[in-house]
Amino acid sequence: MLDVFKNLDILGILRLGLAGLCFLLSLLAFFLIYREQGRDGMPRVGITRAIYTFMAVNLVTAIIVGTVGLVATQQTKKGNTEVPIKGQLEEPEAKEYSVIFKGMIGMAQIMDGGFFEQKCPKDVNALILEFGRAGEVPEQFPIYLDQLSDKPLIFKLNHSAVTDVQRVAKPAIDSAQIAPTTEQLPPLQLK
Amino acid sequence: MRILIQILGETVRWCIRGPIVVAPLLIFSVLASDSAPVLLLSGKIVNPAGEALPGCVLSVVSSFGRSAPTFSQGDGSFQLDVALPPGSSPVASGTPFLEVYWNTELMYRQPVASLTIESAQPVSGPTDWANLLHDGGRVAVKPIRLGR
Repeated sequence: MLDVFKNLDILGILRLGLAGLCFLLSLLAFFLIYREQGRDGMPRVGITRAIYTFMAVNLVTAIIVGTVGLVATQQTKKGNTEVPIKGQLEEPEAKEYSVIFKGMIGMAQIMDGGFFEQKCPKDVNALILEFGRAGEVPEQFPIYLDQLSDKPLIFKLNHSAVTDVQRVAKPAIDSAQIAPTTEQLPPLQLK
Repeated sequence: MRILIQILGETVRWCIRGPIVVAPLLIFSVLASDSAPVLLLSGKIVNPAGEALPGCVLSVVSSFGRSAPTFSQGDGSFQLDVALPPGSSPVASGTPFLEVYWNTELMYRQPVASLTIESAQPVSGPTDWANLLHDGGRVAVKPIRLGR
């Protein structure tokens, strides 16, 4: 028995999973060749062939392990390509406001009790959040993605500080201005 | 040794051939990505009395898709970037409509081509909607009166 096999932490290696098993099988293949070489005379053809088969199976397993590992890593990388933007609008009537994410593929979101959350691609460096509701001047806030933390961002509108803000009244709907359409139009992403 | 020389020869041949094969593909993909025309639509939203209406949500929509929504500003002005379907006919991509929402309530939906052009800078060709909606450009429309 080789010294290398005596102090081998087999359980520790097996804990690595299939990669560990592959390593052990490779070591066993080496051990078999070593044993066969240690014999007197020529190596036996049958045993050598059996070792080859053993090594081939081991190689196939190693390739499978490598491919699965590579695919899994790629999928993890893909999964982490988005950054969540969480925020809260501190406003008494926050539910009436929408937020539009400028700089991303057009998204608008109505806030659920003042809270909003949107995933943003990592390759976007900065974007502008625009808060608004009908009849009021919208307000913009620039956001730098590398400065974001896990905590939700708190937004306060400037007009909240001004007491005499007049909201423009909603005009009466003129149904003639809403053209009927037979086409299937995608809905506005206000959720 | 002969095999080694053969492998080296193949590698060198691929190094020369590679860029020749890859370059047209790269150029084609760059050209293809730049081929989507964009229409920059601007204007103003007012009420029947002519007062500016801020905070309205505007978007251009067709069966092709929907543009990024935008708010009308304090003076009622708005600017929309509309990506047009590349190289397709208006029939295939559907009629583009301008939609205006009062919060979530639809107040206005009219074909973009029905809006009155105030000024326009087409990418090429004449200053009409057919050309602007095909090739893109900048267009400012006359104020849109919302409601009655």
